[in-house]
Amino acid sequence: MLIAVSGDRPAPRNLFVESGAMLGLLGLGVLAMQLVISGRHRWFAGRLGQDNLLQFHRQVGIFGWLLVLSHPLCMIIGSPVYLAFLDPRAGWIRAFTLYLLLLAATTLIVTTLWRRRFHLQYEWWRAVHAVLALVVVAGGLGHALMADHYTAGWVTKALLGGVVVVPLLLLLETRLFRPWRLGRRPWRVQLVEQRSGGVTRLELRPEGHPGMQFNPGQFAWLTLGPSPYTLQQHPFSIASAATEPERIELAIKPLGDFSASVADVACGTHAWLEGPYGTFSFDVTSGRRAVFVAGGTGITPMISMLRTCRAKGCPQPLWLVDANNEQGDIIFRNEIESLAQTLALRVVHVLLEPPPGWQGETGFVDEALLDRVLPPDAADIDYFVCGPPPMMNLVEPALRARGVTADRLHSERFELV
Amino acid sequence: MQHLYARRAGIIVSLLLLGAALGVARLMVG
Repeated sequence: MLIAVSGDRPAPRNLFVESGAMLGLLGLGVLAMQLVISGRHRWFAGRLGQDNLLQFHRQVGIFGWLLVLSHPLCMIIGSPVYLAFLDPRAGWIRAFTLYLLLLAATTLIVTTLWRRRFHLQYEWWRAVHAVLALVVVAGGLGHALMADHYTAGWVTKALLGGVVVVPLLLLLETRLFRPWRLGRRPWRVQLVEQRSGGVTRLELRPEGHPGMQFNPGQFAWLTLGPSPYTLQQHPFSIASAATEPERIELAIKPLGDFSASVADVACGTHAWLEGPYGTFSFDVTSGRRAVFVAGGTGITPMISMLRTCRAKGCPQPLWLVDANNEQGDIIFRNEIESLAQTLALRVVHVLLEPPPGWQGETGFVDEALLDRVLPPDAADIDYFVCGPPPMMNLVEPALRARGVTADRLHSERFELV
Repeated sequence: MQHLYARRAGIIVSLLLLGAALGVARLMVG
């Protein structure tokens, strides 16, 4: 937008038309930036956290789509002359392309907001999302350059082209160059094991490289099979201790087609790991006390933190509140008991549907339960919360009500799309 | 909590950009 108005100023039009033009240029800029925000670029994501960035991406993406829709609307309200852009009789290629762009932008948003309702498989959704994003941004740039109003000068054209082409190149980097780099660091499935809670434990070993350095609590994107160039790439929290970069353990619960198929993976299968990612991490050497509140598979990153604590011999008191539906859903039950014997760890299991004779806590993890099982809040206690959204929506405000400050409350959400 | 802040940041940034676009459009009309 700023690039467009920095060149020679064309003859002014009415307010609706000028607003429409600016909304269109802004829409192009916003959608181009989306390619950078969502691209898992370490230099950009920094300490923001991948799940937080994706929440931001979601909101700004909807805004970008509204801009794309409002652009032609404002232009046409301002002057019916612009109806010609959408009139096939005035140029069918242009009209067809613009309809296609509007349809692509709308499909992009609709398939994302209602992916499950459309029964769209995650990997197909990812592929469609990337292709539509490419079409919308590249097509939008072409349209802006050919509109030739604010973009009449060659300098303006070159600058605008540069600003939009760079994110497009970054998208190609994410989808093509990154798998190529992954291909140079292969892993192999060493162990496939069924564990309690219907979870499959997958142990990976590096082949010809030292493995992956990560912070406890981080996650990685897993690809299984002979080639890293595949649609099947899914994020999973690492369950093993950060002190063992040469042995990565993932605990995968069958929630979708891919995670359900993991149980049938043969030992020796090739694997590719992209990562580590995420800011949901505990500095175990800080000496600070920590409270972990986990729901279902949300326990996985916490197991990594606790195992790292054990490996480093951490003496500080720790609390683990592990919420599940039924007793059989408790993941890492034996491991948790073993950790409680080595660490100064108090474990509280909470069941929504307890079996007869259950002595532990029951119901939802609410403020009253946290008051019963946790120590009074203090400045040297960090809180880690990970689980399904309904649990997070209950626990986060409950902890805030107990006086926990935002900088000490670390949370990670899965099921983003 | 952080996801709420991230969503709010998305909405605030969007509104600021919208304001900027309409402001620039007003300037261009003269």
